[in-house]
Amino acid sequence: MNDTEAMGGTTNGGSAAATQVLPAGAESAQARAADVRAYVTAVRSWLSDLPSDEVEDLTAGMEADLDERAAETGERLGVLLGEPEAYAAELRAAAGLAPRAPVVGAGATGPGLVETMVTSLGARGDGILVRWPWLRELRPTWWLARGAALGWLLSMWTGTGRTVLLPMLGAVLSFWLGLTLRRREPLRPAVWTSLAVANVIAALAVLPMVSTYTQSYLGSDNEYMSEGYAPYPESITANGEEVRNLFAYDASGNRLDGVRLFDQAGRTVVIDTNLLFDGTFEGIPTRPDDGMPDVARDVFPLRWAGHDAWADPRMPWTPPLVLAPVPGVAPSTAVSPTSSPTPSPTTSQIASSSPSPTVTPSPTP
Amino acid sequence: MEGTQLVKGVLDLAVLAVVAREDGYGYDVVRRLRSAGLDEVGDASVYGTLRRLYSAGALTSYVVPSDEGPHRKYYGINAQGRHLLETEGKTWAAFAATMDGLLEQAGVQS
Repeated sequence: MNDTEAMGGTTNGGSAAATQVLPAGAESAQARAADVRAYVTAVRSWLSDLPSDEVEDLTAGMEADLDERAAETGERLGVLLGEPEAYAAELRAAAGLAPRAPVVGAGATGPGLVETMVTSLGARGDGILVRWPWLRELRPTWWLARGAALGWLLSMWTGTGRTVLLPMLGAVLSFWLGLTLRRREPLRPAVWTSLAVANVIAALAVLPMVSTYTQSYLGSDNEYMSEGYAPYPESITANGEEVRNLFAYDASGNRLDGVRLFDQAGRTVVIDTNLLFDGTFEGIPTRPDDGMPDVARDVFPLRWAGHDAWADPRMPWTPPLVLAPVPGVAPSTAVSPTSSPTPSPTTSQIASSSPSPTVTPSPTP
Repeated sequence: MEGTQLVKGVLDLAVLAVVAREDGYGYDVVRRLRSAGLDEVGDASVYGTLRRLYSAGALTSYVVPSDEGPHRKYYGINAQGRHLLETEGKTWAAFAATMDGLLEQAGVQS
């Protein structure tokens, strides 16, 4: 036995060997135990095609042996013993067991193939942890990210607005799960498989989640981003706020009812009746089929039976009865003599200045 | 010729010989083989050999619990193992004598 060579691992603290040498001192035993557990888990996964009692027999006492082995030099087992895959192959060859069947191709039959792939992937994952031990230190970070991603997915899927609470809850739960399961390694195949599926889903969700949060964060001062943000696609905005109602005055300063508006392309200006929701649709007639307000969306101000559009208590503003006439516009040119300077708030007739004398608000749901 | 190849052929015998002297757990057997001069022996080969000899009924096995760490698995020899050791030992001695004779005829000092 070459003692000088074996001692090299503990005395050589150079940067090149830093990741391969376990920390010295109080934490060393703990770090070594984790390293040993990982190695044994990896070896077991390369034996997973054998009957489970056979695996038990082959690996019983292995942790104690490998721990002693690692304690002698302070080096990681991957360096001392080589890849877990090769170690397992040597073990089964010496024990007179058949070599592990290679992963079968696409022609293989159903469950066998999936099972083989899962165990093979698991073995590779454990092997990677042995080869790049620093990945282990990143695990808690991944647990948090994984939980946040799954929480975010849930919030998106259920449509609740809790895009912060659910990811945070998810992160906490996932962290706890990670800690718990780490103590129970090696995991049962069923647990391992569900965990792997959850990890894959979370990994796929991380990118969209990050991009969503980044967009909504940037959106506040990025016009391009905020243009794309339209929860009510049909609504119009003014001063960055959704328009819930419109109040028109004619040139003389009189209130106009039953006004219909069009944009430069001839599109009717409508207001999404979802915006009438104020915790409740109470007092608003609703359609029996979907419970949405039964209100004409394109006739302003929006109104319905028993509702005074010009004096709506929900509104933060009460439109004045009359405005000052538009300077330079002669009232006589547009306003007919029937126009009253103080129109009744409850009138459903179009003001006389309207170009169309036969307006009846037509609901366009 | 690689030493590793030679060791493979006689590993059963070597392991039996080590365990026959005193019960031992896996790494203990590895260490004793190495200190005896079998540097080339692989850890996993020794564990696998112990397991195979046990399955063949040549060894006994028992677990020794540990307070502060994982349990140890000890192996010991039994009557069948001793018998195997003796017959295999004779085979080895005859084989070694044959090889010595061949090398001697070739003028090689062994």
